[in-house]
Amino acid sequence: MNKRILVASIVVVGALLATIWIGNGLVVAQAPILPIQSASAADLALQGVVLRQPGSTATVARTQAVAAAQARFPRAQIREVFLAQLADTNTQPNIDLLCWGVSLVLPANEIQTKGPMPGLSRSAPKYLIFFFDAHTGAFVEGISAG
Amino acid sequence: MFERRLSARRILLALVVSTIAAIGPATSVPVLAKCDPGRADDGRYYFDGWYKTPGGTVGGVGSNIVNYSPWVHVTDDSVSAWTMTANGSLYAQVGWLEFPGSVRYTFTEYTTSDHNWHRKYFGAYPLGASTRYTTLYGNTAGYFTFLVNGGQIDKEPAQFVPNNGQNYGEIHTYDDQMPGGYNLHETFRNTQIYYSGAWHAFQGTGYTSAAPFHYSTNDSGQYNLDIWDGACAS
Repeated sequence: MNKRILVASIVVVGALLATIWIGNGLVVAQAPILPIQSASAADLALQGVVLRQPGSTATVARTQAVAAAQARFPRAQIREVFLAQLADTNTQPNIDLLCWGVSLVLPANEIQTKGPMPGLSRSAPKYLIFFFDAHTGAFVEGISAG
Repeated sequence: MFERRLSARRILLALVVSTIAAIGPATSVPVLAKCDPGRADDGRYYFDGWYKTPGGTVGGVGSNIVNYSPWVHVTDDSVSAWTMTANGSLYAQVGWLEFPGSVRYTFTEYTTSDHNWHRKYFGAYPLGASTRYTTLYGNTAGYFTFLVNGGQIDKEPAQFVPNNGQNYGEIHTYDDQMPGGYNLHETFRNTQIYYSGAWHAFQGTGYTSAAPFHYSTNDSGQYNLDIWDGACAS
């Protein structure tokens, strides 16, 4: 009898705690961060970007995303290609989308602007990544930093 | 029999011609002419436009900029036109940008206090259209915000306080076309700068990096700026 009361109490308390946690947004089922070679999570976070392991499969082929990136930058080399749940909380409206990420290396060693006038030669890009919707193939956004 | 074939051919030809006539105007896109200025590919960067340092914090710069499609040297990276807030070599900007092969984007770019730069690419706005590009500081506390036609597209952390505003065309080699030609200028209209708690006419100081690149104003230097490449008609 005591055992039954104990088990029932644990279940009730557990349910209550779960309710409180969920209510406060403390328990959110999020996929793990997706590590990529091109940029660290900290680098991406500076632009409001988080990449997570995909929770579903793409309907657009990887090759289609690569072709879309190469069409935009015919002289670029592919550094890596990955499927990720892209979240960007700086872009308006915010992005939360399953995307193909295509990381590129351009032959030119500088792609950034030189501003402000009169200009300054700046560091070469550390990464250049273009994202394409994994369900439609549409261009979503590109990010770069150096 | 021959006549029947002939009339069938005529009908087919008429159909083809009428189809082309019908499709032609609908699919033609008004494209501003590109012009290879025929200069040396020196890999240096050049600016053409105006700037203003009004004293105190600059809270924003906005301008209606025509989305011009210039010649971009194939081995160069990009040509752009933008609005910017800056302090020394730190900056935040938004505008249009074109890579070789007519690959175009709307872009935002900013530096953190360590002078590292960060850029985002978004879809481009129509060629030939005038689009308002606005860079704001502190509109959202602690951030630069970037607006296109009044709608926010991006915000990024502000790690410096701007004291300067700029509007420029920018190229990265002498053989790039500075946006605009002598018959078709690149235009910045209704250009404004925010300081002392209000928006003001930009009233900038003109600057160009080299002789072939020109600037002018049609309103005594209040709001309107034109720039162009003297080697190109359009």
